Amino acid sequence: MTDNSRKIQQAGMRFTTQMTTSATHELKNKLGIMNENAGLIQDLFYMQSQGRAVDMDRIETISHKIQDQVRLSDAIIKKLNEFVHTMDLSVDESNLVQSIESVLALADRLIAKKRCDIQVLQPKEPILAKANPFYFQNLLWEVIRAICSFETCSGPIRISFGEDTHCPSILFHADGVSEKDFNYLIDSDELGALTQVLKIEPRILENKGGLGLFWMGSK
Amino acid sequence: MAEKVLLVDDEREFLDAMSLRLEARNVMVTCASSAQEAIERVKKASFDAIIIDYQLPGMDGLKALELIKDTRPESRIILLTGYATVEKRSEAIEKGALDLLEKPVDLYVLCEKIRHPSKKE
Repeated sequence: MTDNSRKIQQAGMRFTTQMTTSATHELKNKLGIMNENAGLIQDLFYMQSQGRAVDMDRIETISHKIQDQVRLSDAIIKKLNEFVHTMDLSVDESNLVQSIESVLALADRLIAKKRCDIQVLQPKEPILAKANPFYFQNLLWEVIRAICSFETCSGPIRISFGEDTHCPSILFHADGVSEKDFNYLIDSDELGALTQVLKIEPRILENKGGLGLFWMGSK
Repeated sequence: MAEKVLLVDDEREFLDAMSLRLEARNVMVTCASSAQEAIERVKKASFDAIIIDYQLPGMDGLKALELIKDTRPESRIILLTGYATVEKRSEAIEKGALDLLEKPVDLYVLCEKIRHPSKKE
């Protein structure tokens, strides 16, 4: 095993652990809410057995709340399932916005813990790029996680997309994060190994500040 | 007399349902949606028990426990977590928690902890 593949493997294991921990934690929270609402219905029926009238509108409201939690849990499970299946594919045409949204959905709890606000600026057209979907999502998370961790990060992280369709790119901007911070991120072992295997070039955006990920191979 | 409890969780839906169920069991509930809000409330009022989610945004439940204990060392704090492990529970108790319970929580067990904190399982 080469040094690079060992770094990629380590990054991949950490990424998998973080995504599954975050998503399953969120699922446990949803179960907690469903449990309390189901308990509320039981309480209301117990009160009825003690001679108090049951407010049927209240029962309906509670059942809708449970259905909402089921729907949200189902969305998390689908994302988790899609995520696990990214490991089956060596190379796929990835929709960049969808890839970012998948990572953000799975990492919701981790991002909330760091109190980060992330804004994804939608491109006019879908942007597609060929990449190993697992490594690609791992790279996206490495960048997002690192920016969230910079103590100087003072505003929302804005993610946008380059207009050049021959060289797809994703651009990250964050108030308070300096060029030095972004360079530190680019120099990290994990980012270096992942960008190398994906043939993506990380670059400091000199005019606007921020970090860009540029596909160097053809689309 | 009804026990006064501070319930801390960032999930509004959880706070709403849990507080209604506790109130139906003669517990007076004050809600807080963050650790910071909980610390502010503890400075202004005393509670018979404080129930805190382990994984709160910004500041986790364990850190909140330490800060609350600094203000009111006598506070009886129960932590709730999605995944309880022996190590997590030991650490929480070592830092002064009354207990660490796993979500979805058994309300009977929780009420027993609030009313009879020294009772062994």
